[in-house]
Amino acid sequence: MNILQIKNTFSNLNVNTNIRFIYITLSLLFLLFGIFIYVIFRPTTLIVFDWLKIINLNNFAMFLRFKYTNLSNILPYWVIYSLPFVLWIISYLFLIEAIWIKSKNTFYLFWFCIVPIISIGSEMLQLFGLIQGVFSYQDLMLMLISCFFSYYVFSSIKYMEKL
Amino acid sequence: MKKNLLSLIIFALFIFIAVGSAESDSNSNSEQVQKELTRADESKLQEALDNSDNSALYTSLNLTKADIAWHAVNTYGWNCEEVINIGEAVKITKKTSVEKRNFSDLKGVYYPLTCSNGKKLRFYPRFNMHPIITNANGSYAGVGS
Repeated sequence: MNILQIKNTFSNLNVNTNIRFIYITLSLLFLLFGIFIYVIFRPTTLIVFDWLKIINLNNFAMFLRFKYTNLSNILPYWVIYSLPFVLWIISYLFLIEAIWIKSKNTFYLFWFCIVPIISIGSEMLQLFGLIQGVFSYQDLMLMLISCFFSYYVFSSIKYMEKL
Repeated sequence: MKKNLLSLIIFALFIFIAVGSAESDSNSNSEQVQKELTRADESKLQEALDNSDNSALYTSLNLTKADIAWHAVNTYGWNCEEVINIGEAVKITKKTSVEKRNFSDLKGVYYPLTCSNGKKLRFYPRFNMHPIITNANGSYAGVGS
């Protein structure tokens, strides 16, 4: 291996590390934003509020709810009721992409597709009344958009890498 | 192998979050409250509300028909000396200005009220405050009449 090859290898490693860092950072941002919407704007009848009580963060959650309560005036209904789950799907896809960066195989495809398939599939099952829940075209559309958005971002980054 | 294990952990975390975002059975469930409310008598209403929320923060839920009537008259100025019926819970749709303005404080449902003089109102339970009581359209138009 000559010096140029070694240099290229390290250069590729740096690029991969940077992209991985960006993916993980974005993933955490999407995740936290989704959690923020849930804790601030959703009714406290969700299981997550039971967990917050257990870990003694209930009061902090209530403090945040009072502090940001006015934001709900400007937020549309779908942001509060549909967007968080979609953000979590995107967060998941970014993390999977970060893990499997530059090593795409059948396992990668399996882990990448499993969550979108389960999410969209369960929404479709709700449509036919096969599982409990309320079907929503809005949820379905947002899920599809989130998958295409993630795929578009990953493809664009790959394309830019090739340039 | 390591990547598969990491992916499995991420997937498990996603499922964990998805479960956390579901409705809790032990907490207030509007459908459960709705079923209880159809029985309509005051003791059952009180029992349903007590079961649905035992936190001191949700004080607007622990109200009798008399309490609601008191708020209707004294807090909001509606002509409703006595509440004779509390209807089934209706999920709010954030369409009225009252629902938009107070969305994060609201319990997610409202209850149609019928006063002894035939007047129809809406009762919106809030998390840590007295309830909001509006006219049948979810606004304050016609207050005092």
